[in-house]
Amino acid sequence: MHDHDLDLIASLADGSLDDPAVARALVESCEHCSLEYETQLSIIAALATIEPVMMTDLEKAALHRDLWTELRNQPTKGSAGAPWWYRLSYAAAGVFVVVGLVAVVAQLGSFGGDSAGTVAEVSSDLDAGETMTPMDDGGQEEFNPTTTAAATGDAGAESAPDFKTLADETRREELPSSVRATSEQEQATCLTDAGLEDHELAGTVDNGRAYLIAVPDNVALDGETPVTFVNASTCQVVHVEE
Amino acid sequence: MTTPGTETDLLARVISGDRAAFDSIMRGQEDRVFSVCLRILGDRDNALDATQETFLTVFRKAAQFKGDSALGTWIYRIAVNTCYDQIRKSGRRPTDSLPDHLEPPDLGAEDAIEAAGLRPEIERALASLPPEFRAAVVLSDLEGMPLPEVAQALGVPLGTVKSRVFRGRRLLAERLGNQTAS
Repeated sequence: MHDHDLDLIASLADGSLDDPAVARALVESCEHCSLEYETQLSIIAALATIEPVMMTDLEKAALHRDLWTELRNQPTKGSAGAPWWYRLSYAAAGVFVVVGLVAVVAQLGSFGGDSAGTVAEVSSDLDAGETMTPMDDGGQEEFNPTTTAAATGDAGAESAPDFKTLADETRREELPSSVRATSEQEQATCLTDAGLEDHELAGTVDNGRAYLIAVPDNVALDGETPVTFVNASTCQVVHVEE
Repeated sequence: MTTPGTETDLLARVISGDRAAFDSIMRGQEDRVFSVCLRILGDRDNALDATQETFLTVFRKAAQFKGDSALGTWIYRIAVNTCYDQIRKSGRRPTDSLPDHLEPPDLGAEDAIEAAGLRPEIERALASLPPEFRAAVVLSDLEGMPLPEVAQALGVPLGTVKSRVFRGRRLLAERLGNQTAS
């Protein structure tokens, strides 16, 4: 038996032949071919009993959320394609900004009367971890290590909310009244920008920084519902509590 | 169903950074991609990962689509290759593992229960096929793709696809205990 004959029988069985006459004649004239044909038919029929598989709404929502989070981390077309001299010019601009800031600090430091080694004091104090006492009470807060940490928005700093507790409260629909859902159009748009079109707003939290709390649409909340937290300013996903 | 011109336009918009265009492509194909991935990999979590990876690749390689096949066929090809990569990385072939979570919730009707009684064996047999045969049978017999499209999706000649489909079905028959001509 040549392979192409078996392929012909398989094609006859699944109805993909334009002209089945030759294949039918083969099957009718050859017991071996007839058996192969029946085998192919039975398997095709068996496979037809398999139910189609689909993602659940929860899985789709998680897929969209995770996909858009990944896509946001992709380099943009512009940045990836910028020529080397273009990127170098940005680096040079950054250097000038840093140098300028140091010069400004040095100038301001000299107004406090203790001009010697002001910049060195700043760097050494920061290295030693001491709280920097500004030379000018007017406000060099950016050189205070404590406020610097808060300003950079370190997720581990005291301004981050307790995601786990909020997620549990969301699942039990027991969010405190201070963080109940609002109907601001801007918040709905923010969820869309975060890739959470399949999610609905469950609440907001303002803990030095505003977050939106989102759960998948049309899903009964239970202990396993993923709860997503979105930075309300940047509209980016910052935490997912699974 | 998108036309070739529409597909080319959609991808051009994706390349230019149009989120809505990519979202449209994704939502139009995600169920089929997931179905293929689940049938090939036999595991729901892995299939979800493969589905995500597939669309990430679609996004990254949108500029490489030449239009010599339907967009869906091209996406299927990416999905199949993604699944093959996963299988290679895991260093295993799914053999007799029961495909969990493939079946829908309790159907209730007598005929459905009877059919459901057969399905675990069929799905187990399908999961035990070599990946190349399994992919061919899944695309042809479960997804209903014409064989020329299956050939494009798998990146092999039409004759190879026909052979894989035939041999895949025959292996299924042997594993299900049917009498074969061999």
